Amino acid sequence: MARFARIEQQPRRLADQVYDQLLDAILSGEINAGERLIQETLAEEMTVSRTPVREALLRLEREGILEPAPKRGFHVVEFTTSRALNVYEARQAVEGFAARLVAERASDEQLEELRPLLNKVIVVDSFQGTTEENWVAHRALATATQNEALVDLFDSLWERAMMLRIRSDVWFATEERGELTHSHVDVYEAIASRDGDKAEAAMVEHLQIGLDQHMAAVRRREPVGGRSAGDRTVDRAGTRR
Amino acid sequence: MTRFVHIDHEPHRLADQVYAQLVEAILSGSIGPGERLIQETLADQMTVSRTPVREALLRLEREGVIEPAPKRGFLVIEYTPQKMRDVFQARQAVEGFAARLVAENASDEEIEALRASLVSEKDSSNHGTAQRQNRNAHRSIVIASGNEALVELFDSLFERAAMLRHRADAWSTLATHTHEDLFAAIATRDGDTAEAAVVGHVQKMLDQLTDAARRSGHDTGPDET
Repeated sequence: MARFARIEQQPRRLADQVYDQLLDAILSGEINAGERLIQETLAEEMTVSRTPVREALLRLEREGILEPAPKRGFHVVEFTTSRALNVYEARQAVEGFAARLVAERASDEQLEELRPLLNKVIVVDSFQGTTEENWVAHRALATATQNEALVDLFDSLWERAMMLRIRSDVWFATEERGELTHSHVDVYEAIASRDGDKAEAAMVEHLQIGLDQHMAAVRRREPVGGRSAGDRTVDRAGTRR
Repeated sequence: MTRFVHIDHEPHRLADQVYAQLVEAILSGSIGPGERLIQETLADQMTVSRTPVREALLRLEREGVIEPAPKRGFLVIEYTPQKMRDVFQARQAVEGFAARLVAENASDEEIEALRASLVSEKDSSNHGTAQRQNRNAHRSIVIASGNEALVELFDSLFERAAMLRHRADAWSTLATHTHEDLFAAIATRDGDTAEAAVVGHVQKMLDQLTDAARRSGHDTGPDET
């Protein structure tokens, strides 16, 4: 199996390299839902000891990307609508507040730097390309808060959100995606108005559209009459302004 | 040294027990500023292998509680006004939005249940008790949002905030304050009002802590807030 590259041994942060490889494999779909991840097997594939693999697995578990498999090892968490709702709401919390802070406190120069990134029209072609461009816009905004704690939260939520998108197979299914680029413009304009309330509301709305599209795509795929734990929570999200 | 208790071996989550002990030791001050945390030494003290200790240390590092020491081991992070501001702003994000969700979406019963945590607090001159009450009050709002991801973020941020407060010698500042106003704001069922109340409350705490830290001689840099 050549799925994982051999890792150059560096004394520190071997676990980070294992983590990056696992995350890539999960996000690219190379590691399937239901596939069991076993410490020993992974260590052999990557030719490292079990300790850094264990560290990486436990970190992914703490971040909500893996969960313990019955008996032994881990598997990637299954997509559920309530998980997706939780992650999107958490993004609304973090990124909404980030937008508020930037609107209220960023320098004019910072706003100038953000402008092309948020106004860029993102063409939806491949998952990776689109995700990358979208990430550039969202992360630039998080970074503009100059708050490391918020950037950390952003990074961890982003990974979870992308993972859930892949798990739910809805990435290519959405036709309404054009709205996303428009909403980036809305977010920028609200921030540029220097009104914190407006900026936060615009970002919350932007993410709500993404969540609604995601949920709609999931529902279209569900068998008629099939109810999931997410039905209640979708209603809940729908009642928000 | 008997600072750490021996840990009963359970295969799963040994690292969690090590983690909990380290957090407790840092918060109680038995791990002093400038003290180096060495994997091997800690493993010996707790009579566990190095693997769970390493896991616990790396988790604390990722949570921003400790940082790599020059050469070897870890040190508990030093307080700076900037770090305090970052963590409290992140709390404003998480707790403010949680309050909004509760105000807009919670059932009347859920709101009523919040009353107990936010309104019936007792004055306490005991730091530990006051701290626990305060944590419970804030946490109850996030729990009422029904969002596990937000609860996880809250837990990690609250710990960091407590750690920094400890490092800044600003413990006593917030010994007694109430959260009745937060309950009232959430009970209006208006998301904007609820969020603004929580954000304002956390801001007030940040301002008081920063002042107290400055008075205790921790003016280690310009405060940009």
